[in-house]
Amino acid sequence: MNGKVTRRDYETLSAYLDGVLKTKDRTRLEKRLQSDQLLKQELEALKRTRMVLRSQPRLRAPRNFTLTAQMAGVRSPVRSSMSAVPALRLVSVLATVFLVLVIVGDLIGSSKPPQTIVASDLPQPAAASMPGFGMGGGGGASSEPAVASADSMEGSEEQPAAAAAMKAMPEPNSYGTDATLETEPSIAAEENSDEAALSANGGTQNGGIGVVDETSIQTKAPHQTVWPLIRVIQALLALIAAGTGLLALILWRKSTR
Amino acid sequence: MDENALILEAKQGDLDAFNRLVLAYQDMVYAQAYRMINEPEAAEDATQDAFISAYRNLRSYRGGSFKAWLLRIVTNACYDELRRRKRRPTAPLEPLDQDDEEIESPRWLADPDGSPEDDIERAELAEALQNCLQGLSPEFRAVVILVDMQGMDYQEASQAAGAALGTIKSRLARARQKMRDCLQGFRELLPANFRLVEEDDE
Repeated sequence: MNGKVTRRDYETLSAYLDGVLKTKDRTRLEKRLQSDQLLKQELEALKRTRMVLRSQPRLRAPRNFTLTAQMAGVRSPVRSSMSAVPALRLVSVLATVFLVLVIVGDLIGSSKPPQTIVASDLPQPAAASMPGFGMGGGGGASSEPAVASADSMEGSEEQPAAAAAMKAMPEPNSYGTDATLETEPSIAAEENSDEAALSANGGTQNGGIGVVDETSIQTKAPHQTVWPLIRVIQALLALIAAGTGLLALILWRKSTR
Repeated sequence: MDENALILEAKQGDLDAFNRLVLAYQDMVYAQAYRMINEPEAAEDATQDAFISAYRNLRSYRGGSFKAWLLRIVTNACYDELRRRKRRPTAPLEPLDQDDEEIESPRWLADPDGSPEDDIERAELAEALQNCLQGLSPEFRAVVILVDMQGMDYQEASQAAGAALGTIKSRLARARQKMRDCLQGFRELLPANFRLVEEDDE
């Protein structure tokens, strides 16, 4: 049969050339090729076209297409750690600045005279109530034991708070008055219990007569408890500043190698 | 080269292992890109992009023919490039000689082992083939390159082109038929045995 070669015939011929036809289809085509000259010519033409295409030399790549880490989007460990350097440097600088501030603040604080409880610390009414006493004698420089009036002491109730308050007065007891004692509860409230206990056992007391121990009064206890905290803060800041600075330096050196 | 071992290592992030695969397949991938786009620089870009994409998507490779998987990536890159060119047509860049004249038959395509006459003939035939390939639609072109120029079987070509086996068969037959018609115009460039048969047919 010599008819027109259809599109389906071309598909069959092409598959036949590549050896992918099923046995049944191949047998049928081979039988047809024996009688159909046009189909046979088309087969030959396809065979030659295929031969020309397959005869082409393989192209060589003009260059290598291997990937760099950058192309592949891979970050090297050193590179990734390098991103932490600015942050480390900032932490180091901030820690140093805070450390300097804390040290300066500490120095300023320690250069001030120790806090003392003087007449000016007392509530105004109390100070006003004894206008004739203690003027110009602040600090209780008098070394004379102040003797309180026995009458006045006996006449008052002996409360611990009152005793502590009496000690807190710079030089009041030599002139212990009712007015002074009236103000004592409010003053006593400001004193801590340690101080009260210390005063109670104080060797300067004589027979219940309040004697002012100036050194024990002048040095304020809170100052002693703040020192260790400041030292700890200073040490921590110093460690952070030095540690982060050193780490940043190490990472930077690694990256520049 | 143990390809599977290299693929496994590359999947775990070993760039050196992947680069060994690149060296093994770069000629084939570049050839596919060049045949598809018909421009050396654009083919280089497509090849490089394909390998970068392959590395980044290596986890999606689930076995089978690695060659077909790579060729599918580069073929898709070529489709994208051809679509882009269709939207923004540009004059093709041909290699220039020392006098800044376009080289009609690029010398880098020549076989260094052949005689000068053979080189010229081969280069001219290659150019004729390229012209005929460009006359095909990208889908037909991809299939004829995969099967007849890259030597893939239908199954691999189906995987590389992302088309069903029946579609590959059909496209290949149509593409060969069109190539045959086109090559008739370059008869003088065809090998002697091809010409003799053609003349006999007439």
